[in-house]
Amino acid sequence: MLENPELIHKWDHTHSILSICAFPNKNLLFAGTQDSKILVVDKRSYNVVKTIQIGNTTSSGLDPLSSSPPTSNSISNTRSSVLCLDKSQDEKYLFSAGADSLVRVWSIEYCPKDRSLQIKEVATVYSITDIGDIFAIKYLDETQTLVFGCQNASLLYLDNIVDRIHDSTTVSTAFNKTAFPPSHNNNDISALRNDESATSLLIQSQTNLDRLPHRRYDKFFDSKGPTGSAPQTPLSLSPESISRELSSLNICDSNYPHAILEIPAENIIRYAHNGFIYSIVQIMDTYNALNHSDNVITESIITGSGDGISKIWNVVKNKKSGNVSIELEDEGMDNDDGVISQTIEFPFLYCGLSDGLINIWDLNTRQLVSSLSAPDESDITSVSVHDDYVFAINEEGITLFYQDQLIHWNPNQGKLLSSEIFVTHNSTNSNLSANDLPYLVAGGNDGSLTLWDLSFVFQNLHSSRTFARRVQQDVEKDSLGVNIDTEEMLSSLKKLISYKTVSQNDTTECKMASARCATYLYDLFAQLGADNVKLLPVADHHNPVILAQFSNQLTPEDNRTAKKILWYGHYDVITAGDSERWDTDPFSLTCENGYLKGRGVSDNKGPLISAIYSVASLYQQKKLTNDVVFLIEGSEEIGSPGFEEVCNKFKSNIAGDNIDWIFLSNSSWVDEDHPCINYGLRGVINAEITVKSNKSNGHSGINGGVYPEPTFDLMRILSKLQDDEGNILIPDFHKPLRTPDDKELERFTNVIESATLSKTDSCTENDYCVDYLVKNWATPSLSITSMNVSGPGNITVIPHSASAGVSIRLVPGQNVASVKENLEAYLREHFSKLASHNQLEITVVNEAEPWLGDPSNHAYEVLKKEVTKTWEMEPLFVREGGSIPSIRTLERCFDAPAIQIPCGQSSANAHLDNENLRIQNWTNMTEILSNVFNKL
Amino acid sequence: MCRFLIFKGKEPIKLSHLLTRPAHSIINQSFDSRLRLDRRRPMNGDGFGVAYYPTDQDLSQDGPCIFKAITPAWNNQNLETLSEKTKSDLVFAHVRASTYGVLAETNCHPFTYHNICFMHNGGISNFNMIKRKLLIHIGDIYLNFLQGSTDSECAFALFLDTLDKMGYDPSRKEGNFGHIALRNAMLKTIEYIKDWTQEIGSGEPSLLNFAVTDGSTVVVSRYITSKTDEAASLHFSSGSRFVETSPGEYRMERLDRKQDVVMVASEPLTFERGDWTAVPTNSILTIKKQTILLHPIIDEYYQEDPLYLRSSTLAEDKGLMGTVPLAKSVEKNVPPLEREGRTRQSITTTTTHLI
Repeated sequence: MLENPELIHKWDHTHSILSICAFPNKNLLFAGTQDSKILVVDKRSYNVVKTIQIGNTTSSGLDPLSSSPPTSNSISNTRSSVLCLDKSQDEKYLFSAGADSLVRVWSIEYCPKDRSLQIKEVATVYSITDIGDIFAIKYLDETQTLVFGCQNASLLYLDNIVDRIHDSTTVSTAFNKTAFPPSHNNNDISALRNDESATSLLIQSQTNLDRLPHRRYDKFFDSKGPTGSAPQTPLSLSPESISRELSSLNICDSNYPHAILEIPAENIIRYAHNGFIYSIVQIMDTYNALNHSDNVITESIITGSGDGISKIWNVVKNKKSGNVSIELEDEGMDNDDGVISQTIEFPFLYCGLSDGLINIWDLNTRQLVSSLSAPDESDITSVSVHDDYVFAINEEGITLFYQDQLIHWNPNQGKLLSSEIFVTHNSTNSNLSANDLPYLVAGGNDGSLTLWDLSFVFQNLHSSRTFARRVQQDVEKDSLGVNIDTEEMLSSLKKLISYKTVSQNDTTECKMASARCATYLYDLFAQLGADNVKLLPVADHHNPVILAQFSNQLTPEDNRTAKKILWYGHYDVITAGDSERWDTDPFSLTCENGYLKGRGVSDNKGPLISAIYSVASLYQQKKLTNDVVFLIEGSEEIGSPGFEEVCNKFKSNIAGDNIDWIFLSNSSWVDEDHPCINYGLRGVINAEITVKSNKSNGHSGINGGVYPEPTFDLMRILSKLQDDEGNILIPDFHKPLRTPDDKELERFTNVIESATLSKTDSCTENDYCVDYLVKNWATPSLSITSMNVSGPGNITVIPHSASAGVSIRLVPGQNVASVKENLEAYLREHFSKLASHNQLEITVVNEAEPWLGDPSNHAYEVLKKEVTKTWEMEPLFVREGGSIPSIRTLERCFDAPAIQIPCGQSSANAHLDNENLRIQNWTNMTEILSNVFNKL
Repeated sequence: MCRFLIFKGKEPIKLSHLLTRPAHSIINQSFDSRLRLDRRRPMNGDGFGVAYYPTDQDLSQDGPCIFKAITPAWNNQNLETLSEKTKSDLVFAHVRASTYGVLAETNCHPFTYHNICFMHNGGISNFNMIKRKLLIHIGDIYLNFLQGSTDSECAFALFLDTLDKMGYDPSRKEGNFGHIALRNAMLKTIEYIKDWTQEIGSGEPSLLNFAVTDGSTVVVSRYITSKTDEAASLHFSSGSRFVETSPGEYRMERLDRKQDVVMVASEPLTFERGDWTAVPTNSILTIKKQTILLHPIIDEYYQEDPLYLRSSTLAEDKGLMGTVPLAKSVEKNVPPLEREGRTRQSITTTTTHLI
């Protein structure tokens, strides 16, 4: 049976996504939009890494010479839908075209090492005829010919385009050098005028510029109106005016050569069709082998048009002269209805028609083989085929045809407008192999762009993605770096998020979910190659702890140097709360606009998966040089009950001889942009204070004033906890406190100066000073966090019991046990003074010790270096106001220092609604950990 | 100088969005021309006509609704109200400056015959000298159909006769002759006129921008009997919706490649250059369902060279070349007026705003 592919990621844009082009080797996706933009998506980080604005940006400060505001002439080409995109097979060039009647050629340079992406518009191609919108564009690599189809039914082409760009570039560089000297003084310009060749170049540039569709004179748009006021006349031939125009095209930079190319008359095939030309596809491989001869190179294309015809054309290049001509080979394939989209999987041509049909033609016999019919009779805006699986896109959704089966689903993207299937090759072999991973990208008129995993559909062809096998391939390909498979990580995280492991809820559902989740992690560890995988039971039926170890792969001689690292994490989560406040389903991983969304993505399932794969990748590639032990608990959010006992009980099992370092990632950055390393946490005592009477709830009219009420008793003793200045009055509370030393203050100052804290807090700007951080991170606090009374809450009812939650945050130096003791004694002392008949109860709900690491130790040094390398900036050393109960437990139990590395950005919303995690943070974290684990 | 406008949409549109509201509607074009200093261009003050096909099934057979008047279009109160209260998915509109024939409603375009509707922008050169030939050529039924005295109406009669002789009955109530039949009849009609005017050796070229519809398919020609001159202007625009962005200023909204709205006009209705594409001289544009087809008219006046620049002097002299002032640039990110509940000024103030 067919099944829906899985949605991997979704990006949102404000306007329709009209065209898509994938660069599988560079892991980039390009999407052309209705509002003149090309979005560039990095498929690895799922980020929109760049947005190209097509046409001139009018008020950019790029133009030093222009003082006048831009004319309506020059800005009239800014609104132009990007209707079609294509690429050169070597992925060096991207071609875009659309409603502005221009074809733009972009050079794409992507360096995977430092992830730098350079995109330059290297050429603009235009025609002097009024061709209307360009709906279809195709670049033919062998003949270096660009072919495009237009609204006025004509087919245009430009041959040897790379050479032309190169020639023109040399010319325009020369031109730019003279026209744009470093100092714009008159001498240079007059020197330029004296230079004959430069002047002729100037004239050439000028002529070409004035002939661009949005600039050239038009009888309608540029004639004198009844008011007699003529619009801006074409610019006169002065270097200033040219440079103004050139700079408005963003080409005034001499490092930024730009060719403007006109389609010659003989390259215009008028009435190539009798309708708009919507589609051009190339017949690849075998077909042309027959047509090749010594003197010519032939490439074949098929054009499809609103007139219903699919025509085959041969693009023939004479090897000697370099001339390219296009000949009509066949115009026999009549589809009756308009051909909106086409695709070829030789020998079949698939035509998506305007009435919801897909016609399949045999290109060998030129006969109609079959017709597929989508459930909805609207335009098939895009059709893609892979291994006989046909994906048709129309406004009602995606329809997948395979043999006699059909499934249809609506991905909620408004009307779907564009799609493409692409395959990432994992092998160097160009033939399709079992390791090729097919994806579908689709764009809709609501501005959404979605990426679908097709490997499930092709299960019978591609055996499921087993991590081990693929990584092995990667080893051969790239023996230096670590290959981390984000796709694989995502699918594991997706599974992990789906378990409702809410440890606060003692319901059967949550208990079972936790048990299943623990089993899943157990299996995952085993599958990834970990040994010593165990589920450790926790007392009182608390969720089990998972233990797993990846052992170093050094030779026996070397492995004496191997260190043992313990990774601590947890698989339980806070309740999702009000689901109304979530934009997405909290227990289903959603990937949108470069972010992961769902309960637990940031705390702590996301960082956990990141850590697991950072080690597993090393292990699979046989590069792991240290032992890494995972200790994953399931009750962190309720204060890790029983965890300490488990650590002690199974100590030898967990630690073996000795643990060298403890790592964990259980907090977030202080802002959106600066990677952080955490070395301090406050401790906590959460206590519930209750005052009860032995009576039942009373009525203020009948019982009021008759006996001391619990509510007042509670308030009286609570009021003793702080004085009017906010000083905490618990005896000996402040005694052991140390003031932060100079080094500490220096780090705090650095945070204040670098990070943008105002985004993340509700305080005013002025509050952000070192003092604020000292208070938040290095000073204890006491808060009353909840107040409850018995009874219906009616204003006339006297409750028989009242309780308040008190949360005390502690800092290093303070002892949890003695603070607890002092708190209780202090409250009881004041309560006894009230001479009340009521009873006082104090319950400590949970507690945690404060923690302070040593930010100058070896592990922190290594971590700092790796974070700096990956993020290309130094991390901030931060402390945090919050607490992690088990961190001190672990340090004590295994006698090793702990290192805390925050993962999510400050807006990650851990514990709140719409919890999220930026994918960039997630993948970078994996890379950092991989390197750190091997370098310790 | 005549102007015509054709609208064909997937959904019906309020006529006012075509006729009265746009700053550059053909009605306002005729109105604007009062300001023109250039006396060679006459006002389009010789009447106007609108034909629209009702969307109501009960009313849809045997011809469109026609509203014609000999008063200047900008002065007609009835047109203002009617166009605010009428919707149609197929509209023909015409504003006339007389070349032949007197000022009479019978001489106003569009002309209709059962479900067929026809209009003409341009003129048949030395029509008086071929009129007899034409009248002899056509059958009695179409000779008797003639009510007015213009070259345009005679051309329509010739078209009907041609369609008839091709084996289609023009009086068929439901129309629907198919795009091939309509186009071929149009081509044949043009050919007759071309041949007859050639026979008498007339000096000046004829300008034959004809538009015809049978209620479902639209066929429009842009044609001139000259190899060097430009035909009367003709533009088309297609998109998702025709929307008002600020009072009187419209643009073609194009959310996708579909042609849910198709407009063909002597002069663009919006100031957005990218919205409009010129119909090539000496070609036929067909709107089949919501798809635009373009066919060349290949005869001795066909220009092979795609870059050949025809001279527009002739068409300009006759006032048949569209001219408008450049508007201030259209703000592209503004949604349609209705969408955000912004109110629109009344039509009167808009008109004032135009002056």
